Amino acid sequence: MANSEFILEMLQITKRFPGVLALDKANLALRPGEVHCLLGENGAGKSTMMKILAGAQPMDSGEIFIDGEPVVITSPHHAQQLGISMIYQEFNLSPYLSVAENIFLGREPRIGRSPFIDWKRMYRDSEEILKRIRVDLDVRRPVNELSVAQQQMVEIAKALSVQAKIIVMDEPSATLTDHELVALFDLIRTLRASGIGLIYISHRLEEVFEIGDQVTVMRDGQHVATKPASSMTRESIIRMMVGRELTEEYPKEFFKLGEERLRVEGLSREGAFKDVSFSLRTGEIVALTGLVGAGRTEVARAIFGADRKTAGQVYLDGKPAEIRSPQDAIKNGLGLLTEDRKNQGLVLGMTVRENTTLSNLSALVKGLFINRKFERSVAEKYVHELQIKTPSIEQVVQNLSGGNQQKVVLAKWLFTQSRVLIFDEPTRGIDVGAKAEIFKLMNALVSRGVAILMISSELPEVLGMCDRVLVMHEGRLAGQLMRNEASQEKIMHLATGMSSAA
Amino acid sequence: MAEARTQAFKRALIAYGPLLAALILEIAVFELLGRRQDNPGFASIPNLIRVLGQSAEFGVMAVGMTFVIITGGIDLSIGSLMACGGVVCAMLVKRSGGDAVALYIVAGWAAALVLGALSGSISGLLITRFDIPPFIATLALMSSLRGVGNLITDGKPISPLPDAYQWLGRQQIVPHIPVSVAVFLIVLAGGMLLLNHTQFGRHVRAIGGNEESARLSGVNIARVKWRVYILCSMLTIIAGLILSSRLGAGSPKVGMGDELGVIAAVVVGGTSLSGGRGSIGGTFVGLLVVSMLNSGLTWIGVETFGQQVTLGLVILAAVLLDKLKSW
Repeated sequence: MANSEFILEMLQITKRFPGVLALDKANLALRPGEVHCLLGENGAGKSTMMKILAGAQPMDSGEIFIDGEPVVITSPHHAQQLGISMIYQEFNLSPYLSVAENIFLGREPRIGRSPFIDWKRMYRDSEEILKRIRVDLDVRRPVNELSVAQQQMVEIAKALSVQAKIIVMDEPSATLTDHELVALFDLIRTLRASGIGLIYISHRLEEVFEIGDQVTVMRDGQHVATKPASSMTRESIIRMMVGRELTEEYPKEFFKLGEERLRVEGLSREGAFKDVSFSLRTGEIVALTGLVGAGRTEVARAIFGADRKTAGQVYLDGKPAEIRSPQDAIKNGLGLLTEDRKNQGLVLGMTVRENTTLSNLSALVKGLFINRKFERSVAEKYVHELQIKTPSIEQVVQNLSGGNQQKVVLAKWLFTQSRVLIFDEPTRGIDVGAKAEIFKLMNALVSRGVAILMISSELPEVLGMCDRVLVMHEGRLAGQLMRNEASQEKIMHLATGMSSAA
Repeated sequence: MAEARTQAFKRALIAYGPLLAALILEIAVFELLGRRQDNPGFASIPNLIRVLGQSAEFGVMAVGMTFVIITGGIDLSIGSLMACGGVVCAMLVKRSGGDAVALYIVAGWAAALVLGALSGSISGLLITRFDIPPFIATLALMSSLRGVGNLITDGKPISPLPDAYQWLGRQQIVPHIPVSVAVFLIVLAGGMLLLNHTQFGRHVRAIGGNEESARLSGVNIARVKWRVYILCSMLTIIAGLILSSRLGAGSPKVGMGDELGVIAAVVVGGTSLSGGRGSIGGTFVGLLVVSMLNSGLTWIGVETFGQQVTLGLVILAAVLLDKLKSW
């Protein structure tokens, strides 16, 4: 079995959780010097597979071979010894320690056999590793001063310092700007050239074609197919992931434009954005796009009263609205679906029922107390209407999938009778099938007279779903494009500041 | 609906089952070990009510503390505040000189409650407006309030006081049931309703679960927290009044370290120190486990030092049990 062409083989891996067969005889084989994309909808078993590889979870049955040798991975530490490194979405860095200290955390070089750290060697070795991956960073800087992308580089350096042969990257691109993504891909190519095997997990299919050599698709805990990326198309991948033909990725519908619902004039927040003006009418979905860091989310938060604005005025239905806090915004019929659902949208430890009614509890209060019966009926109604997949309204939202969590957030804003909804990256971390469902719900909302502002970095969905596109560049509105004149190139032109207003 | 109810029952069973079992076990063990010729046993109703009476002050404070801890906060000032409450009331009653005592007592209660509201407002202000961590804000208050109590009394207890002063702590309304126990049970029921069935209670849990999500959902964080600290302080004053009445004196020295005992009861009752998760029912059972333990150990002749060791072990056991559950 030794001298296999594969650096890693996972064969017939089965894992059962109470009530769910998470992995059902799944396979994965990785060659050295290969970028292997692992794809599948949420719940397809990708993360369970990777947790088993990382030694974070035991498997029920199956075999794992590394360099053709059978291994039993007993712990994360053991996985590391076997040359397996994981780079998670949430980094495992210690924020106040320096780059070098993080790279060598737990394996600090010492002066001889003394307990003292050999700082000189640690800095030198760190610099060497960073040089190897062509990253220019001061190894003495604490990592909390670094950008997300730089922190990711530190994670990768850390993986290399333990002589990793197999590196797993879980959605590494989710929080990166386009520039940073280019740098990451360069780095991945460098690693590939040095013979390391990379497993790359992402929801963005474009990246698969740009960086992937092999693609493995999983569905319902099973291995569906492994093929060279070059032999696949976007459509064929989606079909394999979803297991059926996805009729329309962007089910855009058009409605008659009505009254102006929201207008923003000269909105500014020092240090974040300046002089932003636009309006939103009923019957339309307007996109607010731009590069990460252009100030889109900040504009949304200022409109919603979550952050203070330093200048400007917000009008609702033509009348000036004083919005100083989220409470004011909600009273005025605004709703914000944040980008970060888990930390800003939901109270994860609360139930579907409690999250649904949180913003509008006063509507349920009779006398002193919350009318539980009424509350349950409200929650049931939205679970049914939005087709939230949950065993019951008493389910803790932590246990729901990303798409269903997003629907619970939406239910919350529907229950407050919001008439303007701001969706910030509505499909982030949501799989292809659920995306189309969210878009359909947006259509239904617009048909009922809700105006939607959609912040998104995903240009295909911006072009697919929106009637108008606002583009921001470095804190200012760089221009506006109507649906029929918008294209990826034009948007990127505005977003990178290469041309002024269109 | 019926299904929702079964589910709720199941959850309650998982939440309280082990603790209730521990409580029953405790009572049974003390009953068996403490058998004596002359007496009704440890498990007899009068004895259990006696233990309940002894834990009334702790219980009243624990209800307030549960709210604070569920928001993710902590209140270390309650031991000192409790003493101040008793002192303020006792000083006023002492001035009556024996005339219109009832009126003075009621005035004393009112004055003490005002002090509680004030103290809670200060904690709330420091925590919400100045963004000082609750631990630090209430630690400072704990020290200052202890000082204030000692300063206004010159460090000596206020006594003697008219007999009527002991109504709250010792009078029995129904045979065997003292006023203090009735107050405790009312506070307990009120706390449950407040936490589980009002908007305020829901907001408290939402804040503890995820403050930013709650804020963006339109919950007025500052107002809710403010009210939580005021609630806790007012309940602390009620506890202080009960204690001072039971002792028949207003002493600036009482309640030292009680904040930790109260926190222990809340934690044993399954409320999470990181916020969001907890219940008044749990706190009640937690309190009973702790006070039955102390009282039972005395019953079978284990003295204070042994009790301290055992309490420590019980706290650890309770928290470990909780960890196992969430595993």
